[in-house]
Amino acid sequence: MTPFNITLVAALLLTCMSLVTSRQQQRLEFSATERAQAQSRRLEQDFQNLTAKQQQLEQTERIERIARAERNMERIPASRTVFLSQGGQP
Amino acid sequence: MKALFNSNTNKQGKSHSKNIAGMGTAMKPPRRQWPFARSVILQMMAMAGLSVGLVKAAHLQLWTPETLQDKGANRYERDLVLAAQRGKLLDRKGNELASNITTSAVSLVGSQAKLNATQKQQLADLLGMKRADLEAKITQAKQGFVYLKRQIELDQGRKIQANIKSMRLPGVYVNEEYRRYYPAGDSSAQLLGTMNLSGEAVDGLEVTLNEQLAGIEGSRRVVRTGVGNVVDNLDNSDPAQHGRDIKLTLDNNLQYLVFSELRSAVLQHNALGGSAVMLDAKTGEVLALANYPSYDPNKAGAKKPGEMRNRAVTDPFEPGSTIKPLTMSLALEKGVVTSNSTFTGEPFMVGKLRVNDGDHSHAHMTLAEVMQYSSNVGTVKMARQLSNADMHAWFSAAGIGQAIKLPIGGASVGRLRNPERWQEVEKATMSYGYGLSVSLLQLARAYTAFTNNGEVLPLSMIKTDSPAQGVRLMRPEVANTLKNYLERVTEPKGTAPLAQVANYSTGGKTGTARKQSNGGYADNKYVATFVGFAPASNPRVIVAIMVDEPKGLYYGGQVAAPVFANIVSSTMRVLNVQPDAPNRPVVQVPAVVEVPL
Repeated sequence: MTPFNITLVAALLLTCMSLVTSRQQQRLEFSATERAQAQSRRLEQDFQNLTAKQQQLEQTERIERIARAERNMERIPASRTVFLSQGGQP
Repeated sequence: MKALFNSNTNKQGKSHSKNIAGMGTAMKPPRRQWPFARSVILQMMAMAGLSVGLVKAAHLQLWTPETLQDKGANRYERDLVLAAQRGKLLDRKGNELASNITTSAVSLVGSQAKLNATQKQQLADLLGMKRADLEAKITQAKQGFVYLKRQIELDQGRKIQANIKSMRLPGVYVNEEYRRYYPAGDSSAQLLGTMNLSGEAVDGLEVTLNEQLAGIEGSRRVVRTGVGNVVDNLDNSDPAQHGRDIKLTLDNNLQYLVFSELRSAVLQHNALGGSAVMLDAKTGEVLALANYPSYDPNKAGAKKPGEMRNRAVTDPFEPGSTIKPLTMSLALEKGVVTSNSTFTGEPFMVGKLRVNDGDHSHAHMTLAEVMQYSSNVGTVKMARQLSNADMHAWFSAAGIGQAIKLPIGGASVGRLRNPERWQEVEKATMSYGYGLSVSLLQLARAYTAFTNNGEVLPLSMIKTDSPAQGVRLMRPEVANTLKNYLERVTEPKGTAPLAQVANYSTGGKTGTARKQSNGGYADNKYVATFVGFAPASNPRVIVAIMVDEPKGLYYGGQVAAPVFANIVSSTMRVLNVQPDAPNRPVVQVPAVVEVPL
């Protein structure tokens, strides 16, 4: 075996190893991206569900029911509404 | 043997071969030929075998490459479905009326589910199921796949998933699924519609707008490891196309307001049901549309048919006196009457029909008073001077008997018969709202002519920036005259003083119609209606109320008009409308009752 052949074999081995390493690295990076995307999806789902819960809590019907039952409040009729003009005069 | 021994110790190849040759001369000739032949045969066999292998390989690789490549790829490549999100329904301010939430579903694959008794009990406890129910599901799953539990809240689903993993229950899976959520609950259930567990639109706008709302699923091809981890993405991915969000003309606050007032009225009068519609008087946009009884679309379970009906759109009814403004406007338009015309109130006969105003007849009435008192006598006298064709064309142009161009399924066209077949008595009854039928939405739309200078506006349910193009029905002067007359209906001497609202002028018309029954009219079944607008000086909204079979009180002025007043009172505040009659008190007097057929 000549030194040239040995060099070629070594270069070939190095290339193979770097190919395998980079492939492995790419897969690891890909897996990390997948995990991050899954986490992002999960957080988005949580956000959507929390938004739905918030909407449930701020339903006019619920607020009115609580206001009437627990605070003795009532809907404002037009007869008890004072409209102010820009100058502050009714 | 000695020579042979010597030759082996000899370093010269030449003498070695010589010695072999010498030895060969001592052997028999056939023994020299057979190894050569065997070698050739073996070589040929090897070549033949190799050739067969090469041909097979070439065949597999060149002529049928897909099969093997597919088989190879199938071991590690998978197509993943990319779910498309359904578009949201939004109100005019961007509040969500229908959105998506993620839930969990626990399923079981029969061929993989080899559960022992302990595992079955663990699973039943985990899912809060009875053991017998779980056993039944497992038996059911022997043929394939079965859901054990669906629509589980996401947090709970994740806990179940973690437990299933730690318990190592084979064949039991937890998947995500989407559920439609309707924050407004029962207030707009029939209008928005619902989706079933399979994600298919069942009714309402969910069905009619399905094409825009539904997205298109995507897919991507990935490389998976033996344990199922995705490690690479292949090029041929097809991204999901999410559905489009749609902004409706509805106002969530007004929708609830209308629904709650309608519900109160239906319950108070122990009625079969009711509907209410609110339109923007200037654009024809549907601001609210409610029905009662209703149902909560977020709760699973069977619904009663009466709860699911969008009565305001699907149920035609005889409108009674609420049609009189159309008859009178035609008479004014045709010059049959003027605002100075007067009428006597004595009853008279049209064929076998006795036209009368009951106990509340007036000896003399101006045109305005005919409307204010809802006089059948005055209205029929006008109608008798109009031709069948003119009345039919007028009512049709106002939208009666015509399809409403809205994305609402099952909308009633109503009924307006061929004018050539009208008898004199039919024309008379049609002039005050019998013998024809309309949906509440059609009736509300017809009133846009009075609030929009004589132009009937097209209705809209989906918010756009383009202005509404009305179709002229009557001259602006006629429309304004009618608007003024309708304002008098809500004054103390009219049929609807209970439609008054403090600080605002209002206008409208009552209707009290007997319901048809067994080919005739029932004695004690009525539909009470009121269609009105506010503020009368410059209308912002048209509100139409219909209460079906109220018990006890049944006049439109007593049952439907107060609902109108309550709705308008709050609506003016919500819309921040400046009062047009700030010092006008609300005069509470008994309404002048109108006479049903």
